[in-house]
Amino acid sequence: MSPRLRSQLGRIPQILLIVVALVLMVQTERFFTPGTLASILTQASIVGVLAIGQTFVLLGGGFDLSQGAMLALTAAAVAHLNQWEAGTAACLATAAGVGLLLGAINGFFVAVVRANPFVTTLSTLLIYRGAAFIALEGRPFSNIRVFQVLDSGLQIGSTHLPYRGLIFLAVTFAAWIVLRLTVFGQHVYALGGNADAARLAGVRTTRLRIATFAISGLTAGVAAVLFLSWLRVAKPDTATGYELDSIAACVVGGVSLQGGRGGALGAAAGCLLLQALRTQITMSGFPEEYRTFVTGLVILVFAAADALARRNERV
Amino acid sequence: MHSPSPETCRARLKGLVRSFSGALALKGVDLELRGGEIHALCGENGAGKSTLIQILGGVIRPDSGTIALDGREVRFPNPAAAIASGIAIIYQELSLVDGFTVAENLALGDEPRVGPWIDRRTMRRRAGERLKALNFRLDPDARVSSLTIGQRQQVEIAKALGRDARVLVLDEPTAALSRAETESLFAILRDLRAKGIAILYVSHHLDEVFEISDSITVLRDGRRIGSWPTAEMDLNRVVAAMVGEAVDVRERSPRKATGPPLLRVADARGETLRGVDLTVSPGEVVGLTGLAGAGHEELASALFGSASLSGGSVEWRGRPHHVRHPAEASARGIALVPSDRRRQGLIPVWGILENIAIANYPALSRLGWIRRGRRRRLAEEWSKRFEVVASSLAQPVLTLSGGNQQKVLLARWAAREPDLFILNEPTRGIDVKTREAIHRWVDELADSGRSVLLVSSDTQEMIRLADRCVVLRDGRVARRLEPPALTEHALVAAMIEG
Repeated sequence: MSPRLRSQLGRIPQILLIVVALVLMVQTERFFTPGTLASILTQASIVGVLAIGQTFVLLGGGFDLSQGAMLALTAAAVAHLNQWEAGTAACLATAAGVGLLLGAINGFFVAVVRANPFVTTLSTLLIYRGAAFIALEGRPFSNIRVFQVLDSGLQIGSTHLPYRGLIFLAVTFAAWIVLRLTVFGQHVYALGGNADAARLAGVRTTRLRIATFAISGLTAGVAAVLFLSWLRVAKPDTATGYELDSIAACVVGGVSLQGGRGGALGAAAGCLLLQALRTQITMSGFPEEYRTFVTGLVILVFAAADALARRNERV
Repeated sequence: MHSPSPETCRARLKGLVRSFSGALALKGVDLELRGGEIHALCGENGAGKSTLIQILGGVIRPDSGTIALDGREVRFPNPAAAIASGIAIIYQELSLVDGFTVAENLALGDEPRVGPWIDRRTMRRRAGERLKALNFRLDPDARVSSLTIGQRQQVEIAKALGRDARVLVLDEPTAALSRAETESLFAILRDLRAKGIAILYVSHHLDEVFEISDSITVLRDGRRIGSWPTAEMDLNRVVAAMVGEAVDVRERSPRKATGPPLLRVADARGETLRGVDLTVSPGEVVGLTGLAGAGHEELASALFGSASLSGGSVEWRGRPHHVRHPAEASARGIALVPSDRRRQGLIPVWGILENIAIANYPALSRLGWIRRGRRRRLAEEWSKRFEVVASSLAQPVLTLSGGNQQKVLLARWAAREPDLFILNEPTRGIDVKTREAIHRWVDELADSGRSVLLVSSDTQEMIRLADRCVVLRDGRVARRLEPPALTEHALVAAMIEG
């Protein structure tokens, strides 16, 4: 088999999935209504923002398991601030700042100490989650209304576009711009493509790696804001497992776990596709229990496709 | 030359030919290895030694030619077949599992079992017996990670000889050994020779070759120049055979360096460097060479900020030169083209365009934003100047030939127009045509007043390009050579003589 043909074959699962999803969508009644689509966008927004942060880390050849925990700890910080009746701006700044800091800590250990990213973020997952437990004294802080302004949306004709979905789109667009048009973005790709070569080409690989993890933390902060605007409650177990959903979205969106390949649009599309699939399963009358099963299956197919596509590169 | 009697001839290689993407690495080589004899194989880089070893080890197959063991013709479709036929090869890179004990390593792949479990007692006993038979003083229970390089080599030898090996091949076995470890290796080899094993000893270190070998074969440019009993040879004759009688082709008149030195290194010390002085002036090509580990690679890395010196001083344009990162060095006008294209040079996921651009963003961006039009023009201009052959600038670099990959890397740095080019093995593994093009380009660079520090173990290249050459040995300057004294013979002699 020629390498070219094989690389085309590697794309077949992705094409197939899109086709299947489209067919199912068309067959399901009420799917292609603005209401359903807007609701998918909104439901995907929190994990979607995390997936954008995860994209930076993965492109740089890293891995971030602590996103859900960073979200929870950031939300806990905002919850405390909220009790002292701090303003929206202060809460926003706190969410962003705490997220950045937590991410930078991950980055420090991976880039400077050179600890394995998987183990580092696995331990900070436990540390941040534990810190959220301690900070919240194990109980939920509810009635957090500082971000409630985000819980509405734009009304265009008969279509309601919630702000959360729009923020997700804006974050995606910003990431796309940064990755495609800036030197920073180009360097992130170089870092994940071949860190040694990048360093010898004059790329500051250490600080760049810290930056990718810090961006992941920042998106966790943004996701915390979206989360609080939605449920208005900070719990110690908030967003458990979201990091896996964000990694899954990246994999489905074609961001390579080996680094250096993929992009923000893919990650966002992957996230929307997974959410659409879930909505689909619910709406098409399939039993609810099939959701997790099918989601896992889909991720595996995409991971296998990525591996197949990469195999023929070692000619 | 010998005319070996057929009874003692363990391995007979006849008419081996092998080409790599069109270039002939072996052009019909014969070699006879006899039991109870240590046979040295000498030759410069690219003479065909590694190819020969790989064929003997079943790693690659010859295009034509035969191998006969004890008079019977054999074919090795894979390394396992060579091992099964009794050929043991000790490569420079050892293949032990660090976390395992000596006994576990010796038994690997052939563990004694009781049902599904490993019979550890038998495993240890066998290892002990094997080590004792070879007179190796090693503890079977010692973890390999706790052993010295010399001891690990002993484990490797014991492992290789375990399965009834009759031919032992060692590729540069002393490269990482101390003198004492070398002595004990030689004692082991003499012992094995007495046991009737045929040993092929491949080395650059001619003094060691004379110490240990019974006969010498010299390869040059993929041909066997000759085989002689070691007693009939001396160092000068071997060097002459290695480099040939070729007239040194210098196609240009010597350049005169202009102005004060751009770079001045004094008493540089580091992991391998033990005090090296060096200057490079505008408009000259200075060669820096030595055997692996002599210090030239470390010095090149340190000048580019990719390694740090522990002592000495470096001046760049008359000012102290402390660079801690390649980014700082390249901002000052220094470029380094690394020797290992795939690992240290290319970004594999990218096409030609981005690979050329990656070192040039200071000029290709404004406030962090890439100027895409400029980037394309720059990549077009420089890939054209270096005559990179590709379907488009988007072609992935891994699909390019080695020569074109190297041109992409040269274009990456040439586009920055640096004042000092550090070229590390610029033509290793590259076809003749590209090699000549790169050599012409280096000439032009120097003629236009730029400086080049040429780090190369390719002596012909050194003769062709360098205005003068600094030869390092064991971290010190062994000799400084200038034309007309700069000859291949003098270079090789300076690298290896004690």
